Amino acid sequence: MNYDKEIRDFIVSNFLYGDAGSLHEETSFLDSGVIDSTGILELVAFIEQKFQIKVLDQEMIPENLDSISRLSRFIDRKRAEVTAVNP
Amino acid sequence: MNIAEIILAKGEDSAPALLQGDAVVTWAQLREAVVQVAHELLARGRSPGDRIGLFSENSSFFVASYLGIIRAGMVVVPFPTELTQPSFDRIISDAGITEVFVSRRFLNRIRPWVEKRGIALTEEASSCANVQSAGSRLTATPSPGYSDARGGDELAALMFTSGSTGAPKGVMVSHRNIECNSRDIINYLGLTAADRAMVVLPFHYCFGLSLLHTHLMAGASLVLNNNFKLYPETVLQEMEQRECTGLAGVPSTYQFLLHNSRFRNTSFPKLRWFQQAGGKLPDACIREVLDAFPPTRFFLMYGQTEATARLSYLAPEDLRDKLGSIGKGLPSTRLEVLKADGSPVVPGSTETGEIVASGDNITLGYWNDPLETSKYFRNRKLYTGDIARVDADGFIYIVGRERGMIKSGGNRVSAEEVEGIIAELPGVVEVAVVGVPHELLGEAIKAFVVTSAGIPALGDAVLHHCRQRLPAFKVPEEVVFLSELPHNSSGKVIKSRLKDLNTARAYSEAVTVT
Repeated sequence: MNYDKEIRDFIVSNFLYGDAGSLHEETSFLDSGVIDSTGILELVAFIEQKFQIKVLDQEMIPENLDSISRLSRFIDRKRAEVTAVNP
Repeated sequence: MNIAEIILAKGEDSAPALLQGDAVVTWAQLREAVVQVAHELLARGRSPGDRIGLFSENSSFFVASYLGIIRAGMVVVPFPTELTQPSFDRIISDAGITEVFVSRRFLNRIRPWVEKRGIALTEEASSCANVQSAGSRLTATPSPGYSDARGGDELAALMFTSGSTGAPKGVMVSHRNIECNSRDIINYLGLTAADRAMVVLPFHYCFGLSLLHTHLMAGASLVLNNNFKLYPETVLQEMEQRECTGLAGVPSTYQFLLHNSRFRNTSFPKLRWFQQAGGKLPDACIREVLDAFPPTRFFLMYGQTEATARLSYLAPEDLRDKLGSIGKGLPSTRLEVLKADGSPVVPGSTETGEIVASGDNITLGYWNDPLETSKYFRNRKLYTGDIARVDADGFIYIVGRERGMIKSGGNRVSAEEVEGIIAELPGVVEVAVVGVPHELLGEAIKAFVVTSAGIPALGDAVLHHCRQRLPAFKVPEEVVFLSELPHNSSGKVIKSRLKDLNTARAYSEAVTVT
């Protein structure tokens, strides 16, 4: 499943104040500076609550979180884990 | 002697010098790249003394370019990577920069700026400083100027830092400055070739650069991690995997690790020391670090770009007894605390004075700016602008700063500059910007704004404008709207009273926008 839209909407309304101009699916949050250190924690709290997953400390790495598309794939994997454990 | 040669002298050829992600650069590779960069520059007709810009995140490209430029006898100018175009332009003009080395990551952003200026651009992909591929491409021909490269009191680097007026000032750092300061630091940290530091601080900042100087000079290695700001977890994982022996940070580094990561529950078997500088880390946080890592030595340090990097340190043995102190001067640096009449304060008394430093690490002043230089550099001494007292044992305690700079997250921010930007907004009558204590940043930037009648509140407009006009670290954390600012009899805003507002809400109509 693709969660791009939910993630994008959250970022645009919370960090970009409605100005989505330069935010693409592959934009690195780190390189572009769209999200700061508090922002990334808010973003993680949002996806945990919205998609009913738990992001472990060890998973707080750019490979999982550093763009809309990476985040979307990560959520997909996490939800699959949840389903596998509690079918 | 040329400082790049001194820095590169010790490392073992096959040992790693730099580690970043999966990439490892050995000492042999680094040396080869540095020599190539130097030859390349000389072959292009650049002359000793020319100023060469460097716009790059921390990487082997940065290190090879930085040392190569210095090895060629030229003056390297590392750009803060969060620069806006007007500041970039100003530095290019002020320093008379003729060529800029730009990393892959920043190429798209910087290329138009460089082209507009009509100066040369050396990009990472085609440079000898691209260490990963340089070994197979020994293209640069040896240049006659190579053997008599500069050293000693000649310029090695210009480090641009915010001045009291907000305009960037280029601190002139000599070969001797770097050598002297680095040797002192190597000695008190006891660095050897077996050391390996985790580097999260940018090399364009004097503290980050001091890690490069000291570790490489000791033949040690550096792990470069540029993900800290958003992903501190990657730093912890790499410190474990790469068996780092040390970590250096500004106050926010430690506060962030303590509060936003599993730092204190992680064990780092090889970790030997922590370094902290760049502002005051709250004593409570220091205790937390000490309690979490009892065998690790914690070095608290104090410095300025104007002193190359370091002025003093507090030895781990003294930390608990002298908590809150910046320690004593380095072996080669004499620190005096002088009252307004020029006499030293009495140790153990409540007298305060300005910290004045002398020694071979005191830089040559500000580039092209004799007026600012004469304010802070007099008789070969640096007047730091920091106000301190001295205890009976000679330990120095900072009690305030004179220059009106805000130290936020390790950055120096000029209140006047931020005020100037906010004042651009139509409807702003008066504005005052102050630094207020902040758990994570050391100091947070807080703006107090008075708007004209009829414009009740600008709301988000102030922050929005700041975000457009300023790099992120200069944007206020908070904006408060007031009906008036407190003034003294000569009409000056009484900033101390505004700072007090932070705790006591004296103005009932204050509206806070965050």
